[in-house]
Amino acid sequence: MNGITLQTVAADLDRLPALPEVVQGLMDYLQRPEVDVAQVAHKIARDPALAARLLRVANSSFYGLQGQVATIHDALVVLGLRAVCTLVTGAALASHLQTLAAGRDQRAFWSHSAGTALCARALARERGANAENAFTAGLLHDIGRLILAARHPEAHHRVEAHRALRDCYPIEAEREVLGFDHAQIGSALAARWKFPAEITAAIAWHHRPADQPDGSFADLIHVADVMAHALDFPGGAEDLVPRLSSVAWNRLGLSWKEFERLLGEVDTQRGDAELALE
Amino acid sequence: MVLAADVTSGGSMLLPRGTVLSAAHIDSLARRDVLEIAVLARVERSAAEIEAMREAQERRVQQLFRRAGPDATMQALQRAVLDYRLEKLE
Repeated sequence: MNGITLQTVAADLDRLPALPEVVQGLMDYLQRPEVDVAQVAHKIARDPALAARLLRVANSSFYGLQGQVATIHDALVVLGLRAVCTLVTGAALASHLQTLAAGRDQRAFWSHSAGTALCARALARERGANAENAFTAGLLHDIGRLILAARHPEAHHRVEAHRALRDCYPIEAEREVLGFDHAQIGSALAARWKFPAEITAAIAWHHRPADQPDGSFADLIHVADVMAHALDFPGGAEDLVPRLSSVAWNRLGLSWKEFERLLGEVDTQRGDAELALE
Repeated sequence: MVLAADVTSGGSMLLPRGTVLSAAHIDSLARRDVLEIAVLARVERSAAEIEAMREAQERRVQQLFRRAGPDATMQALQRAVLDYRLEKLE
């Protein structure tokens, strides 16, 4: 008897603190075909903590612009409007989610999330996809796992024990112990928090990209997830590189040489991945 | 020479980590009374050390792919990851 069902987990999501208004607003705003610098600067300036975080992260080598960004306006000019929105929403979402799981050791989770975000952004740039949404989707792809650990610790411990005993993939342990997985939990949260459709699809399908049509973000986040594990985000003796879907890989159309070049690109940014999410 | 750490003065960033230092950079830092900087140094490794590092990377990749099975895509991925890690050592 596992004690919880996907329905009870989903129902519990309604009891989570709502997403901060500024984050929701920026996420919605990013989906528009045209965005306005003054509007975005105004939204960010309303939240001083967010503005400070923006400047700190923009000046880290995570964004490759150390020391060049002194004001919100600078950040908008130097990084570009959409990149700033992504940075701010990503940092604020991470901060909000860190609060939900306060008291738990989240380092491995956020190391993997930040690594996947970097990989997703690199892949999106390579394929001409929306790099901002790719980054956010990478950052959030495993939020279901964080929710399970934070809200249902006993179930999470049983999944972990099963995984350790069998040395299997974490998602297999979830399905075998619970009958559902973190992608389903994350998808339910993404729907409640009204994430953009592209990001919601990536969260829901990143372990089953072949079930989505060609061009879905699920392909990109699936491969980014694999890349991140291959680069030891998070590392550790128990870590496994997930099974790469040949369908997703072929649809992305990368050569192995291009893949290796992207591994190198992300590897150089790893030092500040955690800093960006502190 | 490549900077191993950001160079700051009075809270301002002068040069970011990763900058390839020119004579002009060094003159400029001296004019600003920057007395110390950290630069990356090439470490000369023995053949035995390089071999030990190669073996460590091979073991790590094997560990990460221990559940991969005979799938052709996974085998190609594993080769690419190992190639990348070994090239990084060179």
